[in-house]
Amino acid sequence: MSENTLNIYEKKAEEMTATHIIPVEAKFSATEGGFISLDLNGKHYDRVKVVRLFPFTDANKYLSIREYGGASKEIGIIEDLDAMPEETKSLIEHQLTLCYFTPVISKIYSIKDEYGYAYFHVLTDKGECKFAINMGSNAVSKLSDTRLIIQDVDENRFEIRDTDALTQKEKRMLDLFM
Amino acid sequence: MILKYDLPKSAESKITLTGDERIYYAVPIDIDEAGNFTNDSYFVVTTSRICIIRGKDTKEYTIKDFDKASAEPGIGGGLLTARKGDTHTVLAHYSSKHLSRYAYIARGINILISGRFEEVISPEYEKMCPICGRAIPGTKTCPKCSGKGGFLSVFAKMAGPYKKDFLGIFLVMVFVAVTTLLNPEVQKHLINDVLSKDGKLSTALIYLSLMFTFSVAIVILNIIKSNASARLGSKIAADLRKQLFEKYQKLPLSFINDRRPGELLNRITQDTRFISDFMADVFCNLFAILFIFIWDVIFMMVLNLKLALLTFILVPFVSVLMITFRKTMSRIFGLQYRKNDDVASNLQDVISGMRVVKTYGKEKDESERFKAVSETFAVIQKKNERFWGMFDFFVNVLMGMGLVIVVYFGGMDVLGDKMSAGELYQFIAYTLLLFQYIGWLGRLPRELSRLTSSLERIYDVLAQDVHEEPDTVREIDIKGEITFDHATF
Repeated sequence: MSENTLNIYEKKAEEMTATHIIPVEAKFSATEGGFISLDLNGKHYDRVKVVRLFPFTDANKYLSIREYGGASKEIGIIEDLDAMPEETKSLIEHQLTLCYFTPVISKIYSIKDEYGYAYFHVLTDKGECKFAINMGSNAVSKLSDTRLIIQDVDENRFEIRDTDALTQKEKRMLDLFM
Repeated sequence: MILKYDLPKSAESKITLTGDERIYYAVPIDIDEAGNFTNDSYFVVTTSRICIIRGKDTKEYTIKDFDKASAEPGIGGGLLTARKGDTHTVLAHYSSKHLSRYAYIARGINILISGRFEEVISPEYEKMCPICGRAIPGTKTCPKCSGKGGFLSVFAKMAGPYKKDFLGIFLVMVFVAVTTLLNPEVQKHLINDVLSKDGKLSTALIYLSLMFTFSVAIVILNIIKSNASARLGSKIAADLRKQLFEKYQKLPLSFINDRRPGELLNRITQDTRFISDFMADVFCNLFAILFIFIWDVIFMMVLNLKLALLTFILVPFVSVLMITFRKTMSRIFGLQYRKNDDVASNLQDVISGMRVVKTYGKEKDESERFKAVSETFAVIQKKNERFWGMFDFFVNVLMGMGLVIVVYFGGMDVLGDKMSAGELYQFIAYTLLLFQYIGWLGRLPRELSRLTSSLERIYDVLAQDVHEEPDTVREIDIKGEITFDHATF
């Protein structure tokens, strides 16, 4: 392999691993179609994607801003969304709503198990809903002793932030999956 | 997979089709613009338009105005977007439930954009039944709605091939039942004709030899029945294990990866054994016991109606107790089986990965982890057995009270010459049989809940549709070599 080719690869690798922090001054704007565009360091991006680097532990920190399409090259990282201007914050929050849909369960009305499936009827921060999980699969994952992620048969994710906050009756219903 | 749902009247009325325009796709949008669940929104694609109906509002786009449609997957959902030039527009936001559906629709829209009119059809199966709302276990149709997946039909399907064996055991059990019921009748005559009166030795010997014959017959019949049950049990277990193992090999890796190894192991070993045990011991006995039960009740009523009714007073209490706790039992024992799976899974992981455990010196960590899982299982098992012990005790106390009633009122009748001592003895024997079988039936909910769990777990595997290879597929001998050129790592 020629030295020139190696240099190209090294340069590419450097580019891929370089981290740029998105400054507070970065100009995010809403697009006509419901997405966001970015103007940064004199460059305009028609549409950018927002990716959470720590979706569970720091949902509003370390947000990767990427180009749309192709290799989704990273433009930079927003260290803390709360430190960004209010307008930017609301625009990015809206993008996160579009990309991440993990309803947080606040109340369990009922869990019925029938033929290897458990049918949940719950209240979430996104509204009331019913879903089913396969009892034979690893549908319930523990993020910590009290935090759960439940994945239903359609691969929707539901979160229980704190099982201790549930009532005794709700905990008893959940017992089977803990 | 459904790509054209029946629209509710309110939504249908919002779409006016022109000329030869037809609806190609119509699916729900289950997330609103604020990111909350919604159930009044629909995404409709006609041959020339895209209509987005949100409650009372309708937004329309002309298909030809777009260059391309895309279904963009996200976390827990996705977006259907359309592009014109550099402008991307969000058309619909949906949960993972509709991910595949919208991917097909995006393809369909692109076909229409290109000026063609083929309708996209999805060969994928629905995961939830649109009729009953139940999960569909990887099959084309809902087992419940098609009548193939009910508890009884699954059980009947499994028991079907062993009809003859069941019949044989059932007949033996009927003989056991008849001899069991006849024995107290002979004992009654021994007491009344020989012991109460100054009976002859020869008469006593006749009754005693009859009793001996019945007892020997019961023992022999029980041996025959046990042998036949054991044979049937092993046959069923072997067949089920074979079926399951063959199915495991045919199933896609995604199915296997989705489940814990210990659990898959338990399905082949424990669940098949339990089903075979149930079929051989419980299911065969069930009919014979019901047979004895009915005749026992009839004999009791014929012997002494008043006393029989007094005994039956407690039966509803026992039954209510059993029905009340059936759900609790199903829950707590279901939990126990699940924890048992955790133990098996953990063990399987550690044993198969022992090389890794030892390499990284993780023996202590792994043993702590296993101890924790094992302790949880032990705690639940202890709790369940304590519960079962208490429950069984109360049921037995209630039934014991029935015997006290029989002895007291029956004794009064004997003293008042309304009943002979032999009849009382016979009545007590039947009462003991009655409660013995009620007790046996009382254990049935526990057995049934375990059977349901095992059947569910096995059916989950057996019901999966497997893509069969077409006849044209054949093995080919590949020759040659793979060369890595300019490969870097």
